[in-house]
Amino acid sequence: MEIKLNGNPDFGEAEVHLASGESILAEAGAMSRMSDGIDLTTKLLGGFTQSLLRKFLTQESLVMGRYTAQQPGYVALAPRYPGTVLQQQVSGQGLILTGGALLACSENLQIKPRFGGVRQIFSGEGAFIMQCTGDGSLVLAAYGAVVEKQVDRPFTVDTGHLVAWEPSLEYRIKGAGGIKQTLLSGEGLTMEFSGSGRIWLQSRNLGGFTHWLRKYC
Amino acid sequence: MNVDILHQGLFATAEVTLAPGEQFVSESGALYRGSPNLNIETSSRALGGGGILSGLKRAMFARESFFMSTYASRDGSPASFGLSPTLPGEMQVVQLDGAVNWICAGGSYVGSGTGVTIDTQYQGLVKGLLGGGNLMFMKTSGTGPMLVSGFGRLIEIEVEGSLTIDNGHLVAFQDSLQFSVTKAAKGWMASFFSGEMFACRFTGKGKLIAQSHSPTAFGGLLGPRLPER
Repeated sequence: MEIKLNGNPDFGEAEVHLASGESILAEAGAMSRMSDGIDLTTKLLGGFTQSLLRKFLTQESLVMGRYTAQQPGYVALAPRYPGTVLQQQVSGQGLILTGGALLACSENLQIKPRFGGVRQIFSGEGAFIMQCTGDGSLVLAAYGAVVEKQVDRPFTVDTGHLVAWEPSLEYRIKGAGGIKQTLLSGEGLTMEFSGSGRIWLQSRNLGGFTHWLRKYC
Repeated sequence: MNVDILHQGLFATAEVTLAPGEQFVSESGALYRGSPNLNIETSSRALGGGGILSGLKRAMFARESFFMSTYASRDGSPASFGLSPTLPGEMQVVQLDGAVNWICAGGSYVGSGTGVTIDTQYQGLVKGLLGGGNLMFMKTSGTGPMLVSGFGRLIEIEVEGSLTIDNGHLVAFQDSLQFSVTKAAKGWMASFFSGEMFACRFTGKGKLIAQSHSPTAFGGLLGPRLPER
């Protein structure tokens, strides 16, 4: 399998080239075009009950599409929003993703939706985060450009700008100021990370953009 | 007649220069600047003929504009003007050679030269409704330059054999290609749950232009986050 990233940083897409018998899992609806001889089936994330619960609670996709090559070919995958796509090799401790960040992954990775707890509900990014483990390739989508940081000291992030982080990092949700300030500023909440590990951020915030658009509706 | 794409990429724009006597047609609203000697006539009639009915068909069924503007030089010197689409993304000049016609889908047509005839082409109820809700496509024939735009990057593909494309990513294709609207997966359940449902399957030999991103997908993402009007 070869993953070609085109169009970064403004209109990134991933072109996944598959040999016969290889397959890739992709976010529902992400396929933009594909060559002849690619079969599409579906795969539930984390079992039926959890998938249903997740769909019901977060409107996030219930299933992933599984694209399998019957003959050598490709499938092109595009996020719904403009921005950057990023390929990441996963092994060892794995990676934790925010709800909309997953575009595609190889089949030897396990993606488990995880209820992020009450604190996650208030993050504004959906109640579920996704835990990715195993050995394989992951393609992430970010709204805007991607900023990768190595965190060694406490590090504060606006929740709307978060894409992924390593599980060696701990976090807690905080208001940017007091509750009043948080509600009034529209700045949302922040997550304070501690420990040591890598973190991926996006340079724009879709919630921020729609918040700005709303003023003109 | 000269058609150039400036600032190709995120915010591409087209610059058209007309010699005296030449004409160019675009969807109304695409014009954002013009030289002082530029003559603009706006009507529901395009160069290919047709009256109010052809405008209605364009607007109601092909996601194009009801009014078309025709540009020409008002005096004996060349006139120039700029055209831009609504969405951010690339633009491309397609040269029609009189032999192969091009079909534009989903509002991707921006404008064309005098020698190009534009018309709406009925897709049939099944293809139209299932293939993205456009009952009609814009059919261009004749010779001369034709301008298309896309959301994101434009990707030109030489189709040989077959290609499956999500209708939200379809920009234009040569009518030497045949297409059918099919389930994206083999089974109905997989088609539905994979989020793809229907896709366009092109067969034969010819060129196709795709856009990297889908306006309907982005619109569908933004819409629920905005208050109702």
